[in-house]
Amino acid sequence: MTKQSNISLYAKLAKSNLVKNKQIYLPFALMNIFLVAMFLIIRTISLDPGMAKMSGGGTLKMLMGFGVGVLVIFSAVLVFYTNGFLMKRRKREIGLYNILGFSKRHIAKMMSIETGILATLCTAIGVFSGLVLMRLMHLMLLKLTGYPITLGMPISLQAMGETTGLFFLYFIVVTLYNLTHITFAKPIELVRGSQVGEREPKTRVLLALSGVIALAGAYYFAVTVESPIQAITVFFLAVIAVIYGTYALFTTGSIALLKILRRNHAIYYRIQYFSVISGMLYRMKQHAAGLATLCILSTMVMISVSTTVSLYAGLEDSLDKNYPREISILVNDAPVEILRDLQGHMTEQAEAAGVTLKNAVTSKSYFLITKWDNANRAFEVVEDFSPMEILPLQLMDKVTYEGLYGDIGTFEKPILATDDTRILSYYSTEGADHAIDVSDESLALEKVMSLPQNVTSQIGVGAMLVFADFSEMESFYKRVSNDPAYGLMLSVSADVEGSETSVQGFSNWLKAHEYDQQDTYFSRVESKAAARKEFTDFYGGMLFLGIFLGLLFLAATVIIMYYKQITEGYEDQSRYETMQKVGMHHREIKQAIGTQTIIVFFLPLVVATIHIAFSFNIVKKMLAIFNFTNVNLFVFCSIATSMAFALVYLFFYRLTAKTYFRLVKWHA
Amino acid sequence: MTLLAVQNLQKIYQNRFGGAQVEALKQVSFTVEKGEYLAIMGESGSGKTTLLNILATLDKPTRGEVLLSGNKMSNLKDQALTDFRREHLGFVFQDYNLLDTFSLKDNILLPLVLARMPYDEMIARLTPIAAKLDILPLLDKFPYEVSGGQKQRAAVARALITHPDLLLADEPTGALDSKSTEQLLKQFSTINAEGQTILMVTHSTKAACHAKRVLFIRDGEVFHQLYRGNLSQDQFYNRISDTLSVLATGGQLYDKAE
Repeated sequence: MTKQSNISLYAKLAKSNLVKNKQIYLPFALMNIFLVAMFLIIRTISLDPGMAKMSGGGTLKMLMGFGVGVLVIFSAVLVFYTNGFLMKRRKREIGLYNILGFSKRHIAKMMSIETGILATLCTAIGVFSGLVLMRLMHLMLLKLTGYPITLGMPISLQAMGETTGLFFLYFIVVTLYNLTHITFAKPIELVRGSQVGEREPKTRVLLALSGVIALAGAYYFAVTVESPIQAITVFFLAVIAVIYGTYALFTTGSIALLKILRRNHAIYYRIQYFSVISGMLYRMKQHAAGLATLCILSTMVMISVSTTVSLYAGLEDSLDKNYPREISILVNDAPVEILRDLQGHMTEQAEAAGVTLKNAVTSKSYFLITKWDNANRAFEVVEDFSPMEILPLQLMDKVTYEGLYGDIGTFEKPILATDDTRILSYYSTEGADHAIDVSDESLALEKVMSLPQNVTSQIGVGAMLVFADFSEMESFYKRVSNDPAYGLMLSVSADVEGSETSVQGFSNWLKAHEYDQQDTYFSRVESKAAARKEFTDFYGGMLFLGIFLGLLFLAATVIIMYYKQITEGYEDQSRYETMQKVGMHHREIKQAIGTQTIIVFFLPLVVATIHIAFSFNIVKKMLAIFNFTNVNLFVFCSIATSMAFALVYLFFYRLTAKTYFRLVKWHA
Repeated sequence: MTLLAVQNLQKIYQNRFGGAQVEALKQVSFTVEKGEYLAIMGESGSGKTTLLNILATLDKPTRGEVLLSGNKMSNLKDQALTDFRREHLGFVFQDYNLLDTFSLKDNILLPLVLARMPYDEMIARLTPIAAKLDILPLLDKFPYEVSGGQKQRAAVARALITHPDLLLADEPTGALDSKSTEQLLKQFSTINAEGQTILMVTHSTKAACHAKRVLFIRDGEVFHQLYRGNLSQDQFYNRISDTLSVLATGGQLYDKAE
């Protein structure tokens, strides 16, 4: 045989193999095409030079870069994992080739051509689809972030090259892995491979226990965390613990539960549970990991989508909280006398720019970095920033408070406002006459109340002390603070009326003409409009990423579900045939399949929902860092996302259940 | 009393694309009395497996009738047929067909679970059958843990636990070593002596000679029939061998010898 006809033989075989096995290769190809398209899109966007030039583009570029990174890892894992399913089904076929006389080298050539065909098709179609979809995605991104829509489709040859290269690399690595596997396996093992039974799994108490502890611990800390900054650290640790706990419990808990069910004769020896319980027990070891993965993926989808949607939807809300007026001039660490000058400066500039100021308000406040010492029931002013413990204590006078939050009534002694449950519980057990201890200073209080609804602050206010007059506040601050400087934060804020160009012009004008009369005080200008732009960029970008990743995780979930079911269907064919021969009705089979599929599909979803429920508090605290405190909106978004997700899930579950039944149905 | 009556059975397999037709069974007729032990012998391709599948209601004939205890099989459809199969027939396959996800005990109980029998009743039936087939200590083991002979005995237990009218066996000793084969055939003889009607399809003379009557099938037709009568097992073995030789050579051998 000439070399030419050799190659064409392999090519013919490769092609026919792919076509013969199209039930398993088609979804694989579709998944890869999807991944390729997604990767091309997000890579192109991240490389877009036009984006970097726009304001806030730096953040957006960073976000997209993050998305690219996630996608690289995620695609690798997904390709590898689904390859496992494919190879399992093909082992027998390949073993037969070997026995019939195809040497391992010939098989390698044949499989390489198969991979070549697959890789070429998937990347070509994927890149093409990506280019087509890109316009859509770009539009969506621009709509979300409020950029003016650019003309022309950004085709990045670099992105295309990188995408093709990356996915070819995945295919090559996966093929090498498969070939290594096949080379070291005996042909008879390959042929028998798919029929070798697994042992019944043992109950692993240690793993189960550690899983329960990890999960319980994560839940406890997530629910009890108080400060938003603490929340970040706790969150990452909790995520790791929850992932571990989920895997541990799915692996061991499910087995334990099934064994308990099996021992209950009244339940087990009924036909709708008989085959399902024993079948699942038998499979649990390999499927537990898959189910746990589905659970984690589902949780990630729901959290990433619900948080980014909430942030974006609550944008105007956040802005109102953070920027009570359109324009503010802030000066930190200056003497109180500066305030009058500051007001004058602003009025002057307003006239010069041709705009009118309305609802002007001033504020005088101090910030103390403190720690709540629960043992001694006192605030302790701290120097170093240990983020886990700090409780920002804001001091302000009555005038400032009422300018920002409305009427507070008359009072003589200072008022303490806080939402921290530890502090509140302490004060509620004492008598009516409260006193606050701050670093050895004792201060009698008028009363203790909650923080106002729309409290504003960048890092979140833990507690607030409102004084009846400024001088009392000033002397208190000087007594407790170790700060040699003034420490006073002053600001003048107002709404601006005028044409849009003149309002914009005014804020630019203010920024250009900094308040630096004595060249000693650091002042900055904050404009709500500018902030809106930045927020929109950032939250819009995050929403885009959230939805993008959400779609990705959803696609992965669906693919994994499909493959698991199909693999099981093939494995179960002979079992169900036997059971039908022994006398099982089609109706009973449908019932059994239904029970099994529901458990397999919805168990991950149910556990994911439990995770989400327990994560509610900590995610809420973290959103507060973004100044998002609209709890109702967040609850709504979470529920809406979960329901949308469940619906898609349900749709694909029915699809795969149908395919499964078709595989195991047998007729005389 | 006639338990099974097979009348003019014909089975034609039609190729899907309307091409070649294969006539697996031409004209098969015979009866089986209650308590009989019948073996059906033939080469591969003779139609014996087709015949067994039709008797087991796993397949339908093109023409002809099968009656079990006077009931026409063709009158039963779908679920009713499945139930009938479960209640009146028991079968043993060559490759055991045990479910690997069930213990031997659960495998054997499967038909009773399908019949929705309460657990205590099931166990009451299981224990004596398992004891008789010598697998009582193995009940909690899984198929992968036991030998071929033990698996086949479990399969037989599964077939017998429903107290079927007729036990059908398709090459039951095909996958077994000689010792297990002997053991299984002895047990078949024992249960037949206790009244169980057995119909066994086989190509092994050794298996067939344990039966009381042997039907020979060739090219879809019943070719010959032998009754054991008072013959010993060895004598019956020889008679069967002779018949098979004639079957194989078409009678030429004896003609030539003359």
